[in-house]
Amino acid sequence: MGYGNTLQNALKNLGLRAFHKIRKQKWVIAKIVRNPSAMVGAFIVALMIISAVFAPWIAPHDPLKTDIEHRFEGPSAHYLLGTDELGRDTLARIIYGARTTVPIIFGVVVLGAAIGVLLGILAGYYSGTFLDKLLLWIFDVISTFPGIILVLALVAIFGSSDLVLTLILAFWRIPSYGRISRTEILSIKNETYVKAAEALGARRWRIILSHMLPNSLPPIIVLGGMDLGVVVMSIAGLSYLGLGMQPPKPSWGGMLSIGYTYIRQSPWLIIWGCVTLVIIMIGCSLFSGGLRASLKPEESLSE
Amino acid sequence: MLKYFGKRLLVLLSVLVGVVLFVSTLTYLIPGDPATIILSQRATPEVRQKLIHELGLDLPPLVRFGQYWWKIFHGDFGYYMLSGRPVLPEVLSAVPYTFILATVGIFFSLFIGMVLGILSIYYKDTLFDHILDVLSATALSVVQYVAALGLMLVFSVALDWFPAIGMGDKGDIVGQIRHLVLPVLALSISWIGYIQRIVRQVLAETLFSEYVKTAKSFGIPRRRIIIRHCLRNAVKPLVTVVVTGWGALLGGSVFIESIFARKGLGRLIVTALTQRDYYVAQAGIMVAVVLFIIAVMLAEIINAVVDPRIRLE
Amino acid sequence: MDKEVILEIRNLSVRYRTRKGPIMPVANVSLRVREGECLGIAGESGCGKSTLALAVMKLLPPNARISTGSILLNGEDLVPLSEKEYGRRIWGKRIIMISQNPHDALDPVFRVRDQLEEILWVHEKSQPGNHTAQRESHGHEIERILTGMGIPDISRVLGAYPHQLSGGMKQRILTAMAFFCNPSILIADEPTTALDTTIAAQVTEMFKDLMKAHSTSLVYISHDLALLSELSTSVAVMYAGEIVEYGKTADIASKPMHPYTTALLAALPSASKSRLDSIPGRVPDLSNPTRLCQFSPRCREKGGWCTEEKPELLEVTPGHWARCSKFLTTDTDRSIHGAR
Repeated sequence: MGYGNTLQNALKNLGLRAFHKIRKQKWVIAKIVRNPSAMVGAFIVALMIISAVFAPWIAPHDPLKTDIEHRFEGPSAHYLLGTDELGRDTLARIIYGARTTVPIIFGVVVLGAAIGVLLGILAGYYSGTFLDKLLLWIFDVISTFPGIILVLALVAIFGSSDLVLTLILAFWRIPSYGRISRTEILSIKNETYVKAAEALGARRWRIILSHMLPNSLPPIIVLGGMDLGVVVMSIAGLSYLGLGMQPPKPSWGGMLSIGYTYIRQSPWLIIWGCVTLVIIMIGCSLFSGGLRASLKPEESLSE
Repeated sequence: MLKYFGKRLLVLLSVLVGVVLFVSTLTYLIPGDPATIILSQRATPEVRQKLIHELGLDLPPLVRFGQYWWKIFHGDFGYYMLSGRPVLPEVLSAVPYTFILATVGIFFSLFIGMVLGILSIYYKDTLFDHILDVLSATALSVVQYVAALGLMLVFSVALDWFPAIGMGDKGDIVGQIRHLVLPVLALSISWIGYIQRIVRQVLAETLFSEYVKTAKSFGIPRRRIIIRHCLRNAVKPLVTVVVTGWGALLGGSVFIESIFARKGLGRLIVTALTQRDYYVAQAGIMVAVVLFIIAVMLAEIINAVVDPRIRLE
Repeated sequence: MDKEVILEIRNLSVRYRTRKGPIMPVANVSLRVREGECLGIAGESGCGKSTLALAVMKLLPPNARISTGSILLNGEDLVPLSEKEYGRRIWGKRIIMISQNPHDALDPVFRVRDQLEEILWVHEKSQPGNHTAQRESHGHEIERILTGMGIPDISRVLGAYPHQLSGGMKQRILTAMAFFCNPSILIADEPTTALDTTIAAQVTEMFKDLMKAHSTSLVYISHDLALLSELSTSVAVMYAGEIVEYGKTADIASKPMHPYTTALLAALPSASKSRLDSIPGRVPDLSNPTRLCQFSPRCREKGGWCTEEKPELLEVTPGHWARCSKFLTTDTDRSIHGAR
């Protein structure tokens, strides 16, 4: 009777449950398809991901290639969205901006969610104990910092390489996931099926992995969707201040910063920068709204 | 009730202690040596040593830590690296500017957001409601700095209706107000979207609650129900959102202040961080956090006053 | 001489839209309430009695609507009226409902006293006259009614918040509020269920007084047939959204016709019984309505005739209607709905 054996079983169980959930995906996907705003959101998010992955094939020009003669131009046939201060194609820079940003945001959300949920489960399962209070206190401390300030301070100290940025932003997002998963665990803890499993003598591990975790996922997934947008905004903000993506890497925030400096020369950088960011944020909101509607149908206020 | 607040205060204070510990730990992780920063490269090792000794940087870390805390309790947050002026007064003097921006911004957003939320419930499910739904979802997505840049582009550079930069001259109230318009608008757009949605959702919930049904069936007029019963119950989530948002803004109107070149706490902290002026940054961060915690306490007090269930537990 | 019919419900059906599809918790219900009398509505939970009440009060949730039928108050059909109209003329004045669920029925942020005063204020507005003097007399009236409900320590209760009071207490306060408004018709949905027997008896006496003193018509919803037999003049028994038996209480109590009614009566505890009878089986799933008699799976008197079609409601003896296949004969069909 090995511990490893139990773990194996738990994972197999988790796998089985995941398989069943994926079979249910068709139903979830069907719900999203029926919901027009969620479709729009999903489309935008997909577009962002596709730009990131296929940038070299999609972008009309090399984002780093300068063309001084044609700097600050507005939209034209050649440069679809115009050019920036060094004559580089804005559209290409926007597409490549996704390439630089997207890996980070997914890294942040996955890492932040993983750690946050883990801590949240611990806190919820051992609720009322010192561990719970300690974890909650840590969550409070991290979230009592105005977000920008926290991230800024950490970047100022640890630098702004991709990896560091990912870690810092993930750190910032941990409390949200922690609190939500804790709340979910608290309400699931007292459900009959959990008590039944406990009564049957199942080990804690198993219960957590195969019962509590899958059932607490929906709000976490919804939060994750929303977070994609939030993190994009943070990265762009950091880049704007010069503390995120460093030039000449294409970044949306950087584009805004340059646009600000040269606001009198050309409004286009600001225009396209703002448009891109707003569209992405709307897309992520709609997408996560669609996820919420399909994962928790009782909560959507349809009709 | 006092006991309840006493407990909450203790918890919040412990959070404050945690934050402060965190901040000061960060400060110690600073790469680079203040002495090197102050002096130029050309200074000889002896001069450097002398300065290090003067700044007390050659004492063992624990002693430095203790010294640091001792100084803080006496209000001594250190000095500007270059100018030698004491840090705390400068930091505190930046607070009122941020305060004005944050307060005006929040009140403006609250007012408009509530009005729109109430209207959309009143005309629930009509075209107006749906349009507002789309608009507020969009507004939500327009983050501070995006709004700021966009507004500046349109209303300042293009149309020249409002000044882009600065805060207006000393005695010129009208000018100062004009300088506030765009920054406040930039702050408010996403808040208005957020508040409108919260208000509408809470009102929708309360409108279909049991007690509203009862009140209706006893003949209480609709307007009275909405105002007296629904709104009162809607206050709780609103208060939490608004007051903590206000608290966050106090420390974090970083972008607005940078973009519109206004004095304020956020901008101070950012400049300090980018210029590696750590004592300033640290002091600024602590002030911001304290303000936030005060806001959180305020939110809890208001909640307890409005909802007797909390008070009497 | 029969008293005048003040409320008539004709062929009322209510339709809910749910995720599983539409359901009809109320199907083709017809009832009459006479002035100053009490109509009891009996049935298990889930049979549609509360939905019926909500429909009359225009308080159905947004995903429900009245699909057919009319509700005639003194001859005027209420179904086409808007909420605004209801607010102006019906709610609080002509018809009041005491809902089944006392727990959330009072606003949690206001004290009981404030909520009573609010009712006072509304009542005052609708009656011209000297308001301060009225207030005083209202105060006495409140006290009288509250004491009549068996509420002890009135000043403490008045000063309390709803969450500090028990369910039974809240239920009585709601009932008191309803009494105070003095409507023409009072719909009470299980007002005494949460109360213990002595208090319940007191409250029931209050209902009787109300009917006598003010000629208030009462629609009393309960699953307790014994209580209904004491209080009501006529009774309608509902099952799965339909009326299965309807008539004068005395008739039904002595000569129940529908098997369900018989079973309900048999289930009542009495001194002569050593065991309680129960009705086996469960209430049918309304999302899968059947074209046959809804009660047949649980019916003790099932016969060959029950597998044909759903029986209509028939006037078996004058003033006594039942929906059961046993009464179907080709030439004595008399439908309660009149000519179709």
